[in-house]
Amino acid sequence: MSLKMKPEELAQTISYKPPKKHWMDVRVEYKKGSYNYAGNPESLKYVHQPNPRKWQPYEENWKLPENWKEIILEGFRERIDKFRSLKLFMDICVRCGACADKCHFFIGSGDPKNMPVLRAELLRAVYRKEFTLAGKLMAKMAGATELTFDVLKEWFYYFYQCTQCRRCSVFCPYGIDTAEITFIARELMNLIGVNIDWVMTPVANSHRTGNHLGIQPHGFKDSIEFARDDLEDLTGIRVEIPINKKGAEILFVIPSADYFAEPHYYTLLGYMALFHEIGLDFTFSTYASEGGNFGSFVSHELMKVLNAKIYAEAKRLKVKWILGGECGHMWRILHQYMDTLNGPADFLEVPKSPITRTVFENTRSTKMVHITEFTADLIKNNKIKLDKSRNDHWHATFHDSCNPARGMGLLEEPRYILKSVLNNFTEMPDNTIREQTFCCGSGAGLGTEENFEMRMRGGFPRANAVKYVAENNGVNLLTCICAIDKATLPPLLQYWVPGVEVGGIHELVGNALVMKGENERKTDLRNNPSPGKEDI
Amino acid sequence: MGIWFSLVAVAALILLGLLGANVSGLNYIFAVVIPYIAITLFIVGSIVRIVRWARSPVPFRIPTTGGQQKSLSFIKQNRLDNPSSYLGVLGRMALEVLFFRSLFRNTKAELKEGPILTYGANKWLWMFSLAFHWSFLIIFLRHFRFFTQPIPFFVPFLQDIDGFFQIWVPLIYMTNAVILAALTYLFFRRVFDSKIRYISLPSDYFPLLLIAGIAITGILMRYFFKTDLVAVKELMLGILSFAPSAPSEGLSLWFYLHLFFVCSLLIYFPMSKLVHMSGIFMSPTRNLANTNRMRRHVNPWIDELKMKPHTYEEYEDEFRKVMKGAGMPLDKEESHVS
Amino acid sequence: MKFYEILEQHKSQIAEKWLKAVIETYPGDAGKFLFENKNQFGNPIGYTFSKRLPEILDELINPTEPQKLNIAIDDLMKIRAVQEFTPSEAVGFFFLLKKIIRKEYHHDENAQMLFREVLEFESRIDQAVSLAFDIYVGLKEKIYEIKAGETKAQYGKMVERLNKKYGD
Repeated sequence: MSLKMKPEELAQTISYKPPKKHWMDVRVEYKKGSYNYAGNPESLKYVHQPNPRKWQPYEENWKLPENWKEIILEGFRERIDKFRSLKLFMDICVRCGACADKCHFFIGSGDPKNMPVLRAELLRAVYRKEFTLAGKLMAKMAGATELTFDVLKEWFYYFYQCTQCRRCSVFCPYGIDTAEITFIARELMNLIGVNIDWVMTPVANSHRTGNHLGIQPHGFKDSIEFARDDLEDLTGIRVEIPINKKGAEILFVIPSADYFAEPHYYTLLGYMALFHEIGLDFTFSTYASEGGNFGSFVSHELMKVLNAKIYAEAKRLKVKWILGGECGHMWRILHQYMDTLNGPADFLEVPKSPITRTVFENTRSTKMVHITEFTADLIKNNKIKLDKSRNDHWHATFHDSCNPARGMGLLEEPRYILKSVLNNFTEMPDNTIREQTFCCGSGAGLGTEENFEMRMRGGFPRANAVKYVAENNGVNLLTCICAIDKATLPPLLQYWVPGVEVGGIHELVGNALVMKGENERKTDLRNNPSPGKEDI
Repeated sequence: MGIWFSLVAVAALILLGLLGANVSGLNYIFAVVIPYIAITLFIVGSIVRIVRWARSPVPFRIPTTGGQQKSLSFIKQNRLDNPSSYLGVLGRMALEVLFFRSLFRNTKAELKEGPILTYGANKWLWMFSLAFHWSFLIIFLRHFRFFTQPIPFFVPFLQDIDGFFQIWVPLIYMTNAVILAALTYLFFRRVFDSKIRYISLPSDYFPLLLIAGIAITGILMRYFFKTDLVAVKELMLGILSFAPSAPSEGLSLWFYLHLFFVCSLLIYFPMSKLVHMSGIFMSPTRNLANTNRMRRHVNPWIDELKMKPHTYEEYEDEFRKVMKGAGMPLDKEESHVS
Repeated sequence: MKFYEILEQHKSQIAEKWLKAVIETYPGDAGKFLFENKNQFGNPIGYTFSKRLPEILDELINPTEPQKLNIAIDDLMKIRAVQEFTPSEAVGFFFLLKKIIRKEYHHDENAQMLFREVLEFESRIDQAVSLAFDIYVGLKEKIYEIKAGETKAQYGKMVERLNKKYGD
């Protein structure tokens, strides 16, 4: 053997570089791990959505109605007249690129169409073609394109690669909000039955049974009683769990994951312990047993009908006001949409804490209080006794969930609570938290198994910041106030930062809460030995 | 492709402008008729745009919150990034419009040598956009010395500040240098930043080149190829008082080019992305207060969402048996439907 | 001059060329976008590659402890394993290093005499590829485990409850 073997030739690897093309000429390819399965026809039928049929996005034939283009364009025209946001956002983008590298999916994949500006351009290009003179006259030069099946495939791919987290909107000099554009693009696609199952089946379930998983009333009761038993094992205290109780003071609404998924469940235990300790007169509802609203991931109409249950139930049960648990998109809807969609809530009273007498003035119209607002107020007024050292086995950091951060500005309440129930707390780097927080990568209906690789890519910027505080500060718990976070951050961290767990704020409250008449806590709510009790 | 298209378009405008300057029969058209058309189209076009936006309602109150909300008394609200009053919104909008607050956020955390985080700034875009827009505004205001008689009070004031360094005769205005520098940055950023080049359309290069044309012809006229300013003022006053006089012989080629570029910009403005100037004031993620749970926001077309919720009655009818079995309270003992 | 000395001398240029070659493995414009800023939190991918590639090269030239190589390769494979690559593409970027070295430093006048060292260095690269492939497969297995665990967690408490009530 000698050098005659021409190493350059031997070492030739495949050329990965496809020819350079303008973005309008690049077609989308559905690759495994990067898309979601199509909506189940039975679910679509149950909620009377158009074009129920069996199909999958990777197939050539999507079985669309013959006049699908007309339907979409007509729907587009209608929404331009109904949403100033849409019309304005179609017109005023100057493509300055400030948003370009702010999207977690772009950062994790490098796919140029994951730049928020280009995601919106997918819609804008059709808008220009159909609704502007320049676009009609000289398509390509004006950046206009005709609506074709290829364009539709691209829409489906990329508008279901947006988690509506609004991070880009924070940096846009005109406040252009890709979440709003994605909302409407998905709504347009839904007009011809193009949607995903992980959204549509929970929607149908929620419509029928009141929650995404389709748990029937007795199943709900069972779950809550099971939690009560668990809490009794842990604390020695048997708590009251009112369900569908008429005349209770407060209706308590939580995301359904809290009573069947881990680690959400420990947060539920935390709520129950807290409410018992302060003697709160509240009730759960089986009819409104879901705070989350997957309808909001597909259309304003479905958002409205699912949301309607909360006020309807508050009215039926004759409660005074409503309290909501830890959840992200649920709170975007409750805060920015519910009152408009299904209000006015004139049958309720302005929320007032029965324990501290604090009036929640900021909720005087909607009449719904966030649990961290409620608990922060309890702590401030010294109404509960907390033993921080019971959380000494945790060193926590806080992940601002997108919707409470950028759709409410609920930033300090959870931190106030955390610092009262925990000794070890470290923030992640500044441009990855608060209003600049990075998404979990799985919101807005994308947390599916089939979309796993995409989620890992999209969640990388978040995981990377967690890794930093884990390695440098010894953080071992990522806390958050969102049910989707609690479901999708654990897999994300198992992949990128093994050893860091995920938990809710009220789980830590439950750990630290000193209850009257409780047994000595040998374990925390997860059944892990409490700090100092490891040997027992 | 976009760059070439825009360059050709601007070159065509130059040729047209030269035509206007050199063919004496066309002088009147280029000095009087086209400006009238341009001003009219600009005003009418801008109004049409705004009216069209305004006709679409704001169905939901969707501010993007950039800071702490107003909630509990012991938690400090960020009144500017998450306003809950008109005054707060005014402040937020002022920061946005006057100082480009959102662009300013473009920070990045960097780790340099060791475990200490340093916050490097990525503020070039913010700095040059701000420099560009402010220079443009000041230059426009300075031009009022050609539009009104007597000259308004702010013109000498601006001239003094702008010419603060007292170099050269005639005085060099800072804004003239700044606007050229900013345009150069904004243009080359589009050409050399691969991300920005990828997203850029011809309509992104074109206005930069057009405005550069205006600035360059203006500067050449001021410092190198003098034009008859008295004639310019006469012409402008005539146009603005609706009594246009025939353009004097003293108007130079550079003036015709300058004026024609300005007219092109005015015409182009309302049908392009440049409408962001008025659009920003109407952006619902910025101009609404985060009073979402305090005050009800009404959506005029909410009743068009016709789908009916699944009512409690329907729910109880379906699940009465199991609810009864589980000992849960019921509204009715038996179903009416069955 | 010995081959390793040549490598040592040109280490930073080689690393740079290698990074450029890795960028080329990304389809379309993705690579360009991913690597143009190396901000630790704003662009973790660009940061990780530009930090880890020189470390790997260093370890290949002067092996110190296997653990170092392991950590660096693990970091890179985590990224490549969830991007849209086939397994051979995911680990293939090591071969690019061979290509660079052959092309640039083979023509050294003493290369013929240094052939043994060249072969040795290339076998080190081959070992790194094997390691990368093991890590890659391990990560894919991990993904399946995580997926299974995720489904379990989603309904975890319900299953537990059913078991308690009706089960064993």
